Amino acid sequence: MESVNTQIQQVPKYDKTDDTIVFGFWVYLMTDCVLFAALFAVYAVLHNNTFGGPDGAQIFSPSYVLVETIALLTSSFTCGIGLISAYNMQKNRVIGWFSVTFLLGLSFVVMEVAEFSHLIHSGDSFKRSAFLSSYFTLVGTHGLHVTVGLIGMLILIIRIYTKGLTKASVRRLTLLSLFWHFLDIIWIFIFTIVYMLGFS
Amino acid sequence: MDIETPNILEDWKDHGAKIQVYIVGFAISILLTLIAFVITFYHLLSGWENVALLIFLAILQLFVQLIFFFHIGSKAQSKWNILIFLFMIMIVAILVIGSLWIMTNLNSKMMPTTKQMIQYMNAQGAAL
Amino acid sequence: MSILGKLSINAFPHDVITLGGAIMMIVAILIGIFYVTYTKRWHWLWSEWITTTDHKKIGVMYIFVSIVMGLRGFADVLLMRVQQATSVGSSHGILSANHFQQIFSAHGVIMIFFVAMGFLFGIINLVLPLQIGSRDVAFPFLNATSFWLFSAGMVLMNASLIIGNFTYAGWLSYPPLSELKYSPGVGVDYWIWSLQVAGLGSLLSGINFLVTIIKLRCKGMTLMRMPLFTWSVFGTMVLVILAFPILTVTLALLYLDRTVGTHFFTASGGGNMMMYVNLIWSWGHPEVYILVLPSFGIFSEVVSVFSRKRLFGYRSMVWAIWAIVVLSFIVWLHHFFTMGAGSNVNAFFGMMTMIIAVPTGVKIFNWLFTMFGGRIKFNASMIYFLGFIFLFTLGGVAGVMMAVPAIDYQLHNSLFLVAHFHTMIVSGVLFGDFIGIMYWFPKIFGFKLIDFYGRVAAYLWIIGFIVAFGPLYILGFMGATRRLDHYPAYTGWQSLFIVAGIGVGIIAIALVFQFLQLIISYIKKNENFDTTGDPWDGRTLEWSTSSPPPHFNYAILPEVESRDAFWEEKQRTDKNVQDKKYEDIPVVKNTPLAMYIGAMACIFGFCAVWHIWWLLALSLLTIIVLIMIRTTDEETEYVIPASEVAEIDKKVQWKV
Repeated sequence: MESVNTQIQQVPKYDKTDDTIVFGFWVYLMTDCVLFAALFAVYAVLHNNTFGGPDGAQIFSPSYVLVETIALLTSSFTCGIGLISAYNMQKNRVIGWFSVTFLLGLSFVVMEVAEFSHLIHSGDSFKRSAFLSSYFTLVGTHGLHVTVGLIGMLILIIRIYTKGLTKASVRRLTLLSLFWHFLDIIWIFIFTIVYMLGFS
Repeated sequence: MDIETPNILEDWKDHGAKIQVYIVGFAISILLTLIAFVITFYHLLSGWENVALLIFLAILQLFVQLIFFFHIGSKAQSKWNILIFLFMIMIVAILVIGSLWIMTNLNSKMMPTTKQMIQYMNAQGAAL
Repeated sequence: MSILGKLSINAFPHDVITLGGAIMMIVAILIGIFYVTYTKRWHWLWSEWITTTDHKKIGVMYIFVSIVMGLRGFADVLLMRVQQATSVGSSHGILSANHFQQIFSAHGVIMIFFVAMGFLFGIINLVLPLQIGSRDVAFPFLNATSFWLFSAGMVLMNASLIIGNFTYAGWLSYPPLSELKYSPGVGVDYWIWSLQVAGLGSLLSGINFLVTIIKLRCKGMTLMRMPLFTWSVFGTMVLVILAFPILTVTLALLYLDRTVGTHFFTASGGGNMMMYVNLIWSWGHPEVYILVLPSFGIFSEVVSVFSRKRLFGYRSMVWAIWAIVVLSFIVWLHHFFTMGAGSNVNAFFGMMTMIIAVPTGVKIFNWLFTMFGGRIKFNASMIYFLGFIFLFTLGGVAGVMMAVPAIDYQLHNSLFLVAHFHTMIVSGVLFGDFIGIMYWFPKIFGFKLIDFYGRVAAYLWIIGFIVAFGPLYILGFMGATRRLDHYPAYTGWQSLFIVAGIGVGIIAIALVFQFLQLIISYIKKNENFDTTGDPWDGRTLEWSTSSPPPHFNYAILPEVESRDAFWEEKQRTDKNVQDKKYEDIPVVKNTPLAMYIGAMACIFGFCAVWHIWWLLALSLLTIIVLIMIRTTDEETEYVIPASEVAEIDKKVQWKV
């Protein structure tokens, strides 16, 4: 073998580019969209099968849902403000704004659980009819996603509080924000198609 | 990648993630939500116009959120994101609209309601 | 509510054949454990394989699991053929009706999910990063997790043989038969959860490989310079990420129906079982293209190399892949023409189904044009390929026949249909996978497989397939439906079923030769070492590495200037020896966490089947904790210093 000159260069420690990770998360969000689309398709097909039970107009309360929606929308806004603070490396503001986001998100979940609970106790559970099955599952899946997001948010806030605002934390906040905005978009469609159209 | 893309977080920081952007996005979203609510709560429309307007408002809000919160169209939001997003939308549309079309046909032909059955039989020449 | 849910001693098998199967499986596992212990290889197994994040090793593990499961699926075939050849008139064969139903259900699930998908992800893992000039996939830990989720699904599938039973409602378990009322046992639940867990692994792999192709290509490799195999993986992964969520939802809804009493697909309560069929095939049709597209990619690579000629019609091949991807989402109703959607709906989907045959036809012509005028090496791979051309065309034409709804009304769920899709999967997917394994084997293991045994196996597979499935086409026309465990003597079908059984026997001999090829090639590997890294005079980048490549694939990342980059490099006479600049290379560390996540997912699935709720919650919590441990770990990588990289690189002998 002929000799080759070897130059040894020092590269900084491996740092998987944020680009790849954020892009990967975006692709995952696309798959979650298809998941919700399938649930929407099921709801669209089954929403008239009330099997003698109540239909949307009888169980939905638009004003209650409006409060939920405003809570979630506002939490999306505060999440965005929190993210700006993260890019400006302002640790305390990050914790503050994301705590507000958490509380707003939590109130959304609490309201939704209360709504479900009320329905179940008045005999209109997911077992009552195909309409109710698909309603509980579509809205419930969204609520489950929100809950997972809240848990992630809490863990992130605690980590930032104890370990400070690192580069990895900023990236994770970005992913969380993407997730949170995505959930807000799904909610817009639930709000419109399930509640608004259901009530009409 | 043969083309160097800027670090996505830094690009968002410099271009997309500004407080004015979020405020405008938030305000428009609230407005669209309230319009939908008012139309529904006060039963201002009915039938197909109601459905069409509400869906239109939802899609509008989708775009608002995509542009103002997701920063779609900003430099770092690469064309791949948009491409995959559009492809996904296409598949979602096929799935939802296709399923509705198929199931409506299946339901009316295989599980007709009494009313549908009578309509069908009348169309065949019975006089019910 | 018992602490073990619905689990009890009654869950163990009662009848001879199931018991025999269960015992054989346990014995096989014990032999494996004994062998590893006897040869003192536990540490090696743990550190080299179980904890690996290296895509090449993960690929090997996928293929290993697929081969093992293929044996179980083939055992199902033998049982079914014996049953159908003997269960005529007053005889009822060797299996009860219920048992037969579980066997054909298991056969379908195993072959599609654990053999075909396993080979697919295995080969992609082996080849893709090497082909695009990358050091690994985008998310190596996620890659390992996908494999262990796949394995978890496989374990659940096999557990159903030992504890409980499997679904008897077919490989897609339609309601209402799969609903609680008509399947009160655990069979359908086993089916649901082994698919959910394995399906999650597939979805994560889809994301991983898609990001890998888009973001990790080496410098100079624009999209139109990618090898065709990479393009086909690209199309496949788009299908995976968009189709698998539909499966996730459908399985979840069926589980809810069975467990908490919802009414999605039930007969009462407003449920609509036709919606299940609609949803499951919205996933199911893209799934069959997921299976076959990578094989098309493999054909493109192999036909070009073994014809010593550039692939004909690169652009149209790429176009054809994307046409197939898009079209595969608008044909799914052809799986249920007869469910009654009416002529308008049927006409649309019938036309779309016929159209989707066109891009495939484009590919076939391009492969043939590639061969034309080439210097063809007539080895085992090319024999399989020619078998594919012949069989796939015939089977495909049978499919286009059934694309006409009126014809489909006669042939739906007949043995004609069964023969059609087996022709597609065996000659398309399976032959492609066999070729892929033989072609890339030397790259991964460092020695070539002896071609003689491969050629014999190829001829036997082709002949055996024709003898096994030719009768089924005829039987379909004679009115024989699928999934029959018994039929009257006056039909006159028995002789054809016996012929089909003989065909399966020929295939069994083919399998023997395939195993002989592996075993004898291993014994004689010293005679067949691949010393150059380029045993076939290949065209694409993976052949520029050593066989096997170092852990990090490329000491220096390649830079590409054209298609068939390695081939062009070899043709150049003005090779200037450049100063090689070695860099430190970061590598993801081995970790058992991926396997732990898989193990917990398996337990989760098992508990979901048997309704052991406390353990289900615990396993879910453990998974969350494991993920948290991984994400807080700052030290997931180690760096190979440039000096060591240089040393490893110098040890390798280069042809170029």
